[in-house]
Amino acid sequence: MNSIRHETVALDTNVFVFALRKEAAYPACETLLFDKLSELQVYIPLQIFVELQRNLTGSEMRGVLRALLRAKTVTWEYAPAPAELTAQWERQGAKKGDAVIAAHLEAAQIRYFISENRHFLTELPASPFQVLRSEAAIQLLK
Amino acid sequence: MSNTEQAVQVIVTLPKEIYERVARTAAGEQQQLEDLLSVLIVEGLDAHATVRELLEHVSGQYRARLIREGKLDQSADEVLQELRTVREQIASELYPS
Repeated sequence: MNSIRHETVALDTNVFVFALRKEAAYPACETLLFDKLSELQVYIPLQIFVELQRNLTGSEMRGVLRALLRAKTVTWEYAPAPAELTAQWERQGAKKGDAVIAAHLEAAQIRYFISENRHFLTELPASPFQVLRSEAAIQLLK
Repeated sequence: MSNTEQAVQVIVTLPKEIYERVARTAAGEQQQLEDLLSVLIVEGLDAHATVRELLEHVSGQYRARLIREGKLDQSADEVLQELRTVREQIASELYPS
C-alpha cells in the first residue's frame, strides 16, 4: 500500500467525534487528528461538514475549523454530491448517507477515506476509494 | 462580555491607532468593543498554539458538554449507530427524493 503523505484524504465524522471524545476503543483517531493533522491533505465534503455542525456547538465547531486550517491543505466541498453518482451508489446497496459520501469522493477523485465505520466496507465493496481505519492511516504517514 | 461570571477585568493601554481600528471593526460588525477584543486575544493565542493544544481545548469543551448531557459514557458502538442515524437524517434533508 502506498503512503498517503502526498494524497488528499477525506476524514469521516466518526474520526473527529472519537478523537474529541478521547474514545478509548479508537485511540488512533486522537493521534491522527491531534498529532498528524499538519501532515494531512484533507478533503471535507458538504455531508461531513453538516454532520460536524450537527454534532458540535458553534464554539466547538469553530475550534475544529481553526485546527483544520493547520492541515497541510484543506479543501471544503460546499456543493451537493452529484445526484447521478449518489443514485448509482444507492443502486449498488449503499444507504443514502453513505452513497452521498461515496459520490462526493468519486467526483473529487479522492482515493482514501479515513473512517471507523465498518459498514462502508461491506456496503461498498467495489468503491473507487479505499477505506482506512485511523490506525492504518497513521502507518501510511510513516 | 457575555459570560461575566468567569470573566476577569483587565485594563489595557493601546496605541490610539490600534484602538481606533478595533473600534471601527467592532462598529462595522455590530459587536461590543470588549467582545471583539476578547475574540482577537483568543485568535492571537490560537495562532501560537499547536494543533494538539487547539484540539485539547475543543475536546475539553465537548467532553464537558457530553457529561452534562449524560452522553460521555455511551459505548463506541452506540456512538457509531447515532452517527449513522444522523448521517441518514442529513442526507434525507439535503437530498429529498
